[in-house]
Amino acid sequence: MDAQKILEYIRQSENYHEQIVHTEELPAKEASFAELNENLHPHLENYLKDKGITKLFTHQVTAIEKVAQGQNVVVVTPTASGKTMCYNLPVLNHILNNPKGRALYIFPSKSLSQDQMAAVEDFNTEVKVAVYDGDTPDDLKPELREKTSIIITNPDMIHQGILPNHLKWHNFFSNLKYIVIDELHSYRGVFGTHVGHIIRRLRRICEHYGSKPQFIMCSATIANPKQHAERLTGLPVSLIDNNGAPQGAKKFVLWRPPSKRPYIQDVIWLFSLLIALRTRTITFSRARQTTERILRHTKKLLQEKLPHKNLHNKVVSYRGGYLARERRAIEEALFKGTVYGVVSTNALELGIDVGELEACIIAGYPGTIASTWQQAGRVGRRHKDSLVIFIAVQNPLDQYFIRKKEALFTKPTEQALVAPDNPYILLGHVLCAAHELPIKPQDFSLWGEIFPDLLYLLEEDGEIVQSEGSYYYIGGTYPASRVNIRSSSLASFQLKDKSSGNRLVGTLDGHRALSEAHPGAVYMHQGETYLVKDLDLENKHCYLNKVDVDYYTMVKRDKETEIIEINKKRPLLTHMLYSGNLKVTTRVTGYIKKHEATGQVLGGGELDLPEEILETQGMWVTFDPTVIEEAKGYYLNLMGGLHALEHASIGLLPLFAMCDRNDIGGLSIGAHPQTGLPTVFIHDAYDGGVGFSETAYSCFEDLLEKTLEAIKECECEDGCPNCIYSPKCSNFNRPLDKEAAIYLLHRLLGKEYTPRVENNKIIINSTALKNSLKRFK
Amino acid sequence: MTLLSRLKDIKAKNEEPGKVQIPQKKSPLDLGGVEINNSFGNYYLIEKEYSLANLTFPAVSKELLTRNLRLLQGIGPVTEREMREQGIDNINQLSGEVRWQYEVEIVSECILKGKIKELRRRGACDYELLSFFKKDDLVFLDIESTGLWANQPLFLVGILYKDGGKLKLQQYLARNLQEEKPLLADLYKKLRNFKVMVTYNGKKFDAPYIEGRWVEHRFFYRLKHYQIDLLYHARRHFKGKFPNCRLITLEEYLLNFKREGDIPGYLIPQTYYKFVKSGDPALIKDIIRHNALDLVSLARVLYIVQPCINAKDFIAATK
Ligand SMILES: [Zn+2]
Ligand SMILES: [Zn+2]
Repeated sequence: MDAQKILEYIRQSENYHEQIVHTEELPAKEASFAELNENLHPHLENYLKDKGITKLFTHQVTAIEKVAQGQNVVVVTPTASGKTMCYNLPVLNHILNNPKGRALYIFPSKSLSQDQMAAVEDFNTEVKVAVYDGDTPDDLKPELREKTSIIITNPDMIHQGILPNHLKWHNFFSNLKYIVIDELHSYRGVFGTHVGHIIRRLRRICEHYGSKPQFIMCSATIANPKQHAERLTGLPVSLIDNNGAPQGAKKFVLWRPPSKRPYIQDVIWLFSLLIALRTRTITFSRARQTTERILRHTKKLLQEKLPHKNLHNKVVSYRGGYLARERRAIEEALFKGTVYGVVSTNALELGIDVGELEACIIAGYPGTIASTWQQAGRVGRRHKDSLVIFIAVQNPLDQYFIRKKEALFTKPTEQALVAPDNPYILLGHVLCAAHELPIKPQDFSLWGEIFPDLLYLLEEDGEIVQSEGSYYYIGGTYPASRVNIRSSSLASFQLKDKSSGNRLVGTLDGHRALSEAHPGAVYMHQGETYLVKDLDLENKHCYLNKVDVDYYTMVKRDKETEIIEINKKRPLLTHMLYSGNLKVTTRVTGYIKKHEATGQVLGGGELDLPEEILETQGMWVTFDPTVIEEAKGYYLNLMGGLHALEHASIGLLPLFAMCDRNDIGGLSIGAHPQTGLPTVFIHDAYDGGVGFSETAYSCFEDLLEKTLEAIKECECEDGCPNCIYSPKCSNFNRPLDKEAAIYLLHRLLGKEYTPRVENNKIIINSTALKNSLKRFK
Repeated sequence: MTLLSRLKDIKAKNEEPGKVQIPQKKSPLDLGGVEINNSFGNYYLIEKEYSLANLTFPAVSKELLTRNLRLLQGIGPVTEREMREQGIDNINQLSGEVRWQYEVEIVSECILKGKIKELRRRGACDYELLSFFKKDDLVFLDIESTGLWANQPLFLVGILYKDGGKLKLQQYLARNLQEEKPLLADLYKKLRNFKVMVTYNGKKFDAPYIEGRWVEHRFFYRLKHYQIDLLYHARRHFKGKFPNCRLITLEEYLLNFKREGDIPGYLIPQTYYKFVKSGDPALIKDIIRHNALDLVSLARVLYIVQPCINAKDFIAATK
């Protein structure tokens, strides 16, 4: 494949309308090798020799040596750089030399566990390795606990199955030498915070049995890998990022679909074209439905245009839930050339391992820069040249990367966040820890300052008792089953699929249920679309039906924000910036259905749902009161400006804190009852908060700069989904005033605002004002 | 009240000066027992004696084992019935047959050498296997714990055994949870003296619980006793005949005995913790009594449920 030729071919096509806004040439990189100070076990030396590996890459050698020195490490390298060697070599080396030694591998998903077991088995050593998870048959468990050297599992199993039964695992824990955590960046937000507590519980149990395991971690490239690893484990961690793996040259194309045409048409066209050119291609899309649509239309197009080439039979989709065997079959088909194209959902970016792919279409920003590179890293392994096409969809983040051409190719700004001090999340783990082993005062230091206060609170509630300084669990229920590590509150809703006999499809945080899963809502879960039939508030059940609809739903909410406590504040020129605790009261009052493609309102309904209270972290900015008069003078709608500013800045916050729109909420108000001033709030959407809004507080100027750019440079006139519209606005995107937001951002950043002037007259920019003036005419 | 405001209150309360709680002085406990010291610390031991009449240990002869044809591999219920119809009711009668000769040799050797595990694997029942033991080998055991999982400490272990001409009750009590470890250390030494442990649901609960506690305190001892779990037998014989198979139900229906003022099991953990905090002996006395009653009933029930090869006949016989 010649990427240059393909791009020329694309440019000459009649479908091409200058969609390519930038092509980044990523040069090929030679491998850099290093020598180990000490030899590995002869078995491993032979294995490497047999594989034709005569030298190890620099990062692999650094990892092995730092681990040998007893350090905890986090290895940050791109996809396909041989990172598994960074843990498999030291672990196997240790166990081959000390057969009693044990290691625990933690992966976020079951399919990854299976892949990793195969990778360890490939070394063909005596060392026993096994996956121990929810699918492990009970009668195999005792043997696995006693005899397996390397246990591969996931955080859920450690939390529910292993830690509460540590008495049965005493042999394993007594000899536990290494804990391997891969995909570290995926342990962030609420889930990551839970995992951080699980790791602390794990460390406490190990200490009880006299072991002190070392952590070997791997992460995709994020802004704060070392800090994240340290906050997750509570231990000092050494960073390894001297990647020595070679790379082929890569052309990374930024693609902006024509504004009046759905982006999916470009995806289908490009995908078909690449397949027609016999280029092995993977397309990543954002949802299961889109995946299926891309597959269907690509097949159709290929059959129409090239009926006798039989290419339409050489495209497949690749979905979640596929077994390792099925995935292997697809990988093999790609290798043999019986398949040229694969469409996959984002969720699978981690699972597939196809060395032969040449081109990758990223249909929509997958949410984080780390994911984008994991997807792009699927093609052009080692020395091969490859092509990546990033297709932007209509939202502020996608548009940001199109506009800010270098943003994807420089050091990422996005941070993985965890909130070890969130009392809501910690509370359940205090119970779990007390149940596992009485909590002694010396355990307090594993957790933050808030830990003893929570013990006191739980004692008041009669859940634990204190006796001679130690705290004992006294409840009669299994505490681990009360803590859902995928949610922030103890009370979460069970999602039940009516179309398949009330099968449990997942759980939903209590706070999100009312606004996302009210009766009549279209609810997306793991790429599937469901229609909500019934929401049983008392039993916390939500009944769904799997459907294929072409509309989505939005709710209308009444929302109030009360400032409970100010933790931090600083002036921002003549304005003030705050960070603290908020009480957010919302009531969902109705919803509308909107057509997916056209945005047309198709109907809706009223809802009678109870009020909800969220106690969370937030940040807010109060404006210098002079903006009120000044905005009037410029004929701007202040309220519309505050609202637009809120939307746009929330839309871009994921550039700084790895999160998505559902993780954050906002509120803008002309005169807040407590501040008395025009105020914009940004808050975490979880009880207790996870640090998203705190990040917004600390990098607010930076966020504002990006927000201003996004709004100012957007080509629309009055605002659009690329800049100030929010898909989850509780006021259905009204009022919004783009120019007013630009004005306010200038004021916040201390920039001189020049109103748009034509013929010496200020143009009335505000849509709202324009409309009201129209009425007077 | 929300979590954050509660935490705020707690913080304020803790910062208030002069609010440090002074632990109440507890008066020395008198429960009629003695304090025991060992290298791990102290615990409390209560002893009591009962008449041996309470323990009706079934005298079983090894003869019984030779009459169990099914101990031979290859004989199932059908073959057994056929053989019995032909007048064969002892394995020795089959020793001359080529088909069974080898099997008979193995089983006979097991009986001779007391290979209990192998006999049990072959389907010998508890009652038949009791023939290998003497009354002195037997210990009845019942624990009281602070929870349902072995992660949570236990504080009372009651055992009952034959001591000369008497039936002796020993109750190992941890007056606070610091006393659990010394208690567990001595318990192991005591239990080593016995070969058979009789419990009610002990296979699933008491025995693994004690072993779990030994793991937590890093003794890693194991119970090697022959386990007789009377719940298992009670279920087999009385399920559907009595409202349930709890020990107190058995007492009512089999022993014509109704407990008065007994503390229900689910209240035991919190009552114990109240005792630890207050030192009020009345609280712990209830639990001690409950534990003793359990043990005496166990000893009485052993005879009743154990020999019942045919429970129906037996109930008829006790009425
Ligand atoms: Zn726009
Ligand atoms: Zn809004």
